[in-house]
Amino acid sequence: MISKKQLEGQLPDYVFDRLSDTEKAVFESEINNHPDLLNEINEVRRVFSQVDKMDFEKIINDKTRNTIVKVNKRLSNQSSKSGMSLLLRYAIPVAVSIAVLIFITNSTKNTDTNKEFSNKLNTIIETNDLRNYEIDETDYITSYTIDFNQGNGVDNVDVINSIIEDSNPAGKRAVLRIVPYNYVANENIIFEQIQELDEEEFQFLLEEIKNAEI
Amino acid sequence: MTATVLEIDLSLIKSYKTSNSNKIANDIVNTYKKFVFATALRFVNDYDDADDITQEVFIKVLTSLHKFENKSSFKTWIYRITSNISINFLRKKKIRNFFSLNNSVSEQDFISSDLTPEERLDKKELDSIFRKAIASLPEKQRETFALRYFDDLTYEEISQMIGTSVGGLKANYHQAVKKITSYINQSNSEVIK
Repeated sequence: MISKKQLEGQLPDYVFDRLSDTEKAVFESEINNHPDLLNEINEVRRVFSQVDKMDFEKIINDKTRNTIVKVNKRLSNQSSKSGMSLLLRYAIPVAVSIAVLIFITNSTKNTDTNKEFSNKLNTIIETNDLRNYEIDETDYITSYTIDFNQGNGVDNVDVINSIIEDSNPAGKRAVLRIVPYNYVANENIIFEQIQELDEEEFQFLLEEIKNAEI
Repeated sequence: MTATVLEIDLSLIKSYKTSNSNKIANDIVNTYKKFVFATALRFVNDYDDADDITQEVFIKVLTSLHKFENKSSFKTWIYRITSNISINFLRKKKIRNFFSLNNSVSEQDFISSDLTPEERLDKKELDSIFRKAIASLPEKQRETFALRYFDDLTYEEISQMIGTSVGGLKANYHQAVKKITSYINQSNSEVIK
């Protein structure tokens, strides 16, 4: 005598003919006492007779027919890259990590100064309404601007210093022309050009901008 | 039958470990390709994805065969590699789909071209319903069903693979068959409506 639970455990194997002859005989002698399980057997048989027609074996055979070729191809690609793989796995990531560390260190060093510089310039520009300022000494300014923008063999810091030291009011206006108009809009450029100034030079530049006649 | 399989496994593995022979690699792939493909298919429910996973599994198996320590059967070891790779694949796919507008799943038609268009449609539908029915099962029931129904494994072998008692596996198998039957019946009645 076997329990209903045991019969249920054997039911799929019975339907799919996976029981031994002895197990099958015991199962069949007991199952008639459970009409619900008999119904279930019929239902499973009916549904799985459809499923059996699907021929999954054929589907899987079709799909795996070229597995060997694909695996061998990938394996040979892998081995031909094995020399490179050491480089890719270790050398390049290490180099990139070092570069990122250097970049982070440098940018962290400059960030506070840059922000402060940018804020100060923007405040001055806004306070003095420099965005709408027009310069009339065009020729004079152009010579400085060309030097400043294109280098022409002259160091940018020197150009700024020479403008600031110039007693001509146009020279001071040129500072306004160069700094606020050409460079504040693009912080990257202004930082590249002016970050070499030390604090004293920088403060002097700010004072000159403040004192400029508009 | 199990003992024979294990014997073949071990001799293949030992030979490959010493010789790295292409022929033995091909034998290993040939012996297990259907098993790996069917296992992957149950996880990802997509033929093309299962094909990719199958290749990846064999590359992993052949390149890390030296790590196989005979603590389990070779088939169990391959099964674990397949399920791990399939689960990782699904995780990556979820992330990809999250960032992609195109979530379409490719599906290839494997139904015989000898059939009429109506028969092909019927079989294609049944194939889709059956795979959805399997996919809807809880993981242990799904794996028990597949390993028993498709792969003809003994309960003892399945127990080694998924770590459930033989009694528990029989109950899982019964529940799985019952649910699949009910799922297909329900889908058929919806089609008729």
